[in-house]
Amino acid sequence: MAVSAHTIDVEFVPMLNHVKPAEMGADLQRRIHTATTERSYDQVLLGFGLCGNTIVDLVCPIPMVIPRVHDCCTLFMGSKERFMEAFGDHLSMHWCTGGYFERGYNQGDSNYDWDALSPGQRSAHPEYMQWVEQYGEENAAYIWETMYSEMGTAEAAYIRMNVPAYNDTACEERFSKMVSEQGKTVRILQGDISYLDALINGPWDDARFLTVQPGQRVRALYDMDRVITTQ
Amino acid sequence: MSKCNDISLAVQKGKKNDAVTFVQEALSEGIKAEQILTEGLLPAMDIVGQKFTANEIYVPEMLIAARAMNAAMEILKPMLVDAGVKPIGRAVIGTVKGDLHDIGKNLVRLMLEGKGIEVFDLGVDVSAEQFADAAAEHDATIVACSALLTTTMTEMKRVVEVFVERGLRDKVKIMVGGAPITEAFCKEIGADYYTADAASAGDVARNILVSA
Repeated sequence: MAVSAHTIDVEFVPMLNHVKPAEMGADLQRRIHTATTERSYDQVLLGFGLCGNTIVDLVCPIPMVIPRVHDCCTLFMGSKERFMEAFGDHLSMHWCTGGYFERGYNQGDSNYDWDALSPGQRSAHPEYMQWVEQYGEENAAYIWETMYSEMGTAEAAYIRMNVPAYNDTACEERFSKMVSEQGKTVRILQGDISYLDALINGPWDDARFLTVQPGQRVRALYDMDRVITTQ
Repeated sequence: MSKCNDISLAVQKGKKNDAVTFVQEALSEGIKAEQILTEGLLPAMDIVGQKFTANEIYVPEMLIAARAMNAAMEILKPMLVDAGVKPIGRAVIGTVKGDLHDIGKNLVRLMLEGKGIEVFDLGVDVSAEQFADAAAEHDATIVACSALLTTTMTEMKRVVEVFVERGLRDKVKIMVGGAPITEAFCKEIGADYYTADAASAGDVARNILVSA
């Protein structure tokens, strides 16, 4: 964004919010309203995909550009073709990027630190300690294992973004260690910044981006190609 | 019956060991298994479901309550079978193909079991054909499908299509749920019921079977 020909103000949304699509959608709508009311912009560029229907029903008083993706994984992979190549047969596979790892599940919230969720760390986890206090040790252990049990995938993916001047080797190593401790293998995928670059700089071609005009609402298509539309 | 009330309270609080002890005491006092089920366990899970819907309790409480109920049911099951007590109906449940998320699906299974429904859990990554095979094999009235991803929820449409193709559509009610699922999507794909949470899924499933 710093090197973009466009002048861009950035708004970040806490990561954990994505597990509550309705609340996150309302939050996005508020942010869009506030941003476009307080300053004069040409476009809103939404760095989101369909993301559990989070963006469904959003409106914007100025043109709003949204990538036609289900979630940000496709943005990191560079295209829906590369996403399908890597994830088509493993749609539930856990994946991680350097930024994802650095932020944990929730930006700035130690309760959702990756390390704290590692095997062997639960007894010191604030949420676990609270369950022990409320329901006893045996029930707390059962709740933990049920809520945080690992899904049955044998692999987890780390996406190397290969961005100049950003060294995420330490993140990759820590992620790999954590995944190995869970008995899984790490699949290293080569990320591609071009889709994110196009979101920031254009062109916003119809194949990759939906442009929502004032008066239109975002709608989901639930397919793997167009993903979203307007109404 | 105070013993059934004790059992109910133990289940509601997720006190598995207490629930098991109280069930054993009730049986030794001559209380029949069916009475323990209908006056202790099922009302307990009704209350748990209502409190969950009202946001008075959350997933952890629901999990341990269902666990306590299952522990009690393990004791009662052979006696219920001997006494000819049958479940109110049968359901097959699973997370759709490509999707490995199972917490929500497991909660729905527990709530369905808490309504006296016999549930055949097909697990995760279940194809439309597997849903249809299982529904036919177990003569199920309810097919409950879960998905957490927008990339996998379209498999639910395939589930409906396969039941139509096999001539089974009129024999079952298809329920759908999961974070990205909506009432509109349910209607669009031709499923029968969308429920927003596990407790309401239990209520809807019971209503389907009671009115069948």
